[in-house]
Amino acid sequence: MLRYILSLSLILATTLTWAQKTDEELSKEEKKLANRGNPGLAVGIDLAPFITHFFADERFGVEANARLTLNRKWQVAAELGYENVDINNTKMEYTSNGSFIRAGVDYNVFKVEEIGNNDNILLGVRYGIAVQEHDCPRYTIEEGYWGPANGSIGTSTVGSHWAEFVFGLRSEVLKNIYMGWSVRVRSIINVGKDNELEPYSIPGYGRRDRPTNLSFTYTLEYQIPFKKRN
Amino acid sequence: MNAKNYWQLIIIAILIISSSCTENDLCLSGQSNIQAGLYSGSSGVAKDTSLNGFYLWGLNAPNDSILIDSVKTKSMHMPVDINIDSSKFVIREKAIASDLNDTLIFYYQRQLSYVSGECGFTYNLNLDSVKYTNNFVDSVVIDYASVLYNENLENVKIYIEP
Repeated sequence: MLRYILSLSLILATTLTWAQKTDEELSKEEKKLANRGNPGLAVGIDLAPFITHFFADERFGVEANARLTLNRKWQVAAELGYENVDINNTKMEYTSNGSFIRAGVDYNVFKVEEIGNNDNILLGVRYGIAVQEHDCPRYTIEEGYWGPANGSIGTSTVGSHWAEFVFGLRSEVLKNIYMGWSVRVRSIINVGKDNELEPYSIPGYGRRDRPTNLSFTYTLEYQIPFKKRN
Repeated sequence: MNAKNYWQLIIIAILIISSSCTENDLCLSGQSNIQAGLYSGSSGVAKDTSLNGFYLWGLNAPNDSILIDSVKTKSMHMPVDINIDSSKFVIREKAIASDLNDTLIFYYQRQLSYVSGECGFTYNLNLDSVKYTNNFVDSVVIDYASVLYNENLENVKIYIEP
């Protein structure tokens, strides 16, 4: 329940900031001026992995992102990160360390009604690639009658690919400082396999045992504008 | 787009996030069991039958403990030893006053299979062959060789002599 409340409050915080700016009527020329866009390069971090770690302490990750705003409509985005997984329960010990990169484009569907409003409503796509090294020093398969079986699986390297669709809001909360959230629908394309061990979690994708993952990002970005703003 | 549409999108997004947090990590036990059905050996065709009570135990199992002590049944689950590639069972009908019993030996290949981080691993099996004695068991036939996690299908038909 706490997870829902936290997710909701983060989303509403961004959304309310964004929603407060939309109640002014502009003339045609003013609308044109307001919608000229704010080209620039933004760099930031994603706070969602820290939130994920709070609820799933076996996973720890960090993620940075870069966003190139070309014009009012189009943005090119790249996200780079790292994830570590440590599991130690009665069934298995498992460790994984890996990195990922996601790249793609976002399309801004938001027509602003206020000069100087650089908020975005984004629809986008990403292609993700992850490489991770993982091993299983111990596994135990319980068998109640004959007795358990124990074993281990050595280190292997796995490469994974996936695609994702993005829906998100991005709001300029201070001059050149953006906050945003996005919902991601991720679908796995391929997971490499060279032994019996499958990844528990794929860096940048999430849990491996789901062919489709739903997740969210909550980003904080600083944008270096290409033009001096009025 | 107007503000009303934006709020609709936001509500949809919240619902998606909420649904994504629902986890279903139910771990199943007893997944390396051979499922056997009992059939009449006299009919020539597969016809259900039942034993009026029998004992089943694994040979060389810890303490040779009784696995099944049944009054009347048409089917049974036989867990296999997942540390080796064969398992021996002894079946004895309760109704027979003597020590008449039969031994069944199942040979199989084990395939380690990852289930999930919470449930760990399991062994999927592929039944290769079966050997048996013929005191009151007429024959044993492998009908479906795969023993897979979260699959509930009969693997073996045991024909009982009339």
